[in-house]
Amino acid sequence: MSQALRDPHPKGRAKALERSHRAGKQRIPIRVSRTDQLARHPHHLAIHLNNVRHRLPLRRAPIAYGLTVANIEGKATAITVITPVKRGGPLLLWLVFWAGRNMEWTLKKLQTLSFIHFARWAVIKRFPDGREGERLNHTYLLFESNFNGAWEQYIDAFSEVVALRMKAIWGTSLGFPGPLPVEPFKGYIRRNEFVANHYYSAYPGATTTEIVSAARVEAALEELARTSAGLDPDSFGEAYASFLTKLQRDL
Amino acid sequence: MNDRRNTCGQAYGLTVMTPILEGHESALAHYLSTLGTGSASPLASVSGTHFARWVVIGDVVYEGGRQRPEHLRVGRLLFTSNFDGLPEPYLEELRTGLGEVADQVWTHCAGYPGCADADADAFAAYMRSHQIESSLFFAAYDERTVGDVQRSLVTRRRMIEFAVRAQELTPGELQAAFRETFAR
Repeated sequence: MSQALRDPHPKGRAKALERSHRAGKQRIPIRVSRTDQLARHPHHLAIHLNNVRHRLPLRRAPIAYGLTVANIEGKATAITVITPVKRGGPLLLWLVFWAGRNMEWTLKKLQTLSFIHFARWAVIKRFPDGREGERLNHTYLLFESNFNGAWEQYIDAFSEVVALRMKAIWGTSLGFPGPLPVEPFKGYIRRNEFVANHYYSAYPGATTTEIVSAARVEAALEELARTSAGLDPDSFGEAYASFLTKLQRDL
Repeated sequence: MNDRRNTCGQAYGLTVMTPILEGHESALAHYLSTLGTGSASPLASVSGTHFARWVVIGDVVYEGGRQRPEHLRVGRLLFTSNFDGLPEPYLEELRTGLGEVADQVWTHCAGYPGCADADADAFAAYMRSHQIESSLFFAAYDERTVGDVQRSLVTRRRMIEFAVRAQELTPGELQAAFRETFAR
């Protein structure tokens, strides 16, 4: 956690804070309550503290978001990350995502990360406000994922298995340290992550692998029921044994 | 809005970001923290929902370096959902399934029209007008609906129980037990 709390851009942040203080803005302390909950999920505490540390002094009342740990629902974990994009980044992102949508192999690689249920990236050029949208100096990149397993393992796998893709996508974001080594990458994600205030999963007890396995079991079971209808007991016993052998990894 | 970009197989990725009324962030975050979880979550009543979340975004993160310091004028409430089918029927499911909870949540957001029956079109229009298009959406089992997933998980569990139970059975008993357990 200590590494995650370290500021990788001390100079830049110090300058910004100096500018803000010169402008007369006050840093407003954010109260941390329910620390018992946060202490049970140390990485959420790290995210929360980093979000506090890395935001410029707030101009309005402190917000109590992040004080409730709602990122985990059964075996599922939510991750929500919003990063500022470099100048020229939107064009590169357009190319990368075009490739992602049109070249099947790019998404196939994500399937090899067999613990992701759903994931998305979205480029935010204007934050919706019901009119033309609020435009900031930077474009922002939203990433959200629903996965099973621990946060640390998830980022480890991203870093090791799809490192080039992560570099192509987040390499357009300011402050991205690269997917390897993994600790600075984890620190970057933590700083830019927002903890969900409410999270829902329709099947919290199941992992992605279990769901894919269940689909195979169901299909094989239907086939066995159909093809074994007229078999005598001994032949059925053989068909059943073969069925179990075929599905041994899915049960 | 290019809905194809929000789609992977039959699954749809909805991303909605609504402006929070000035000073309402903490009250909204507090209300969301009081909602039930699992089957008690109000989102469990919105059929077709695989995964969904609400996230209060107080402000953008400052990364330092070359990032120009900047703030959102107001915070945003991010709502994302991964669901079956098309957005219009789902938004109606969302309105009717959440009911009063939708009002309790989005009443903290500017311009929210309410979720009464008379406001059905306005509710859908509000969500659509605050929607952000996905650049890339991935679904691991894109053709399987929530119902398909839940049914196959139950089938798998029954199969595991059956396999354990059937270890000591003779071929005749096995066949009879199989028919009894998995007869359609």
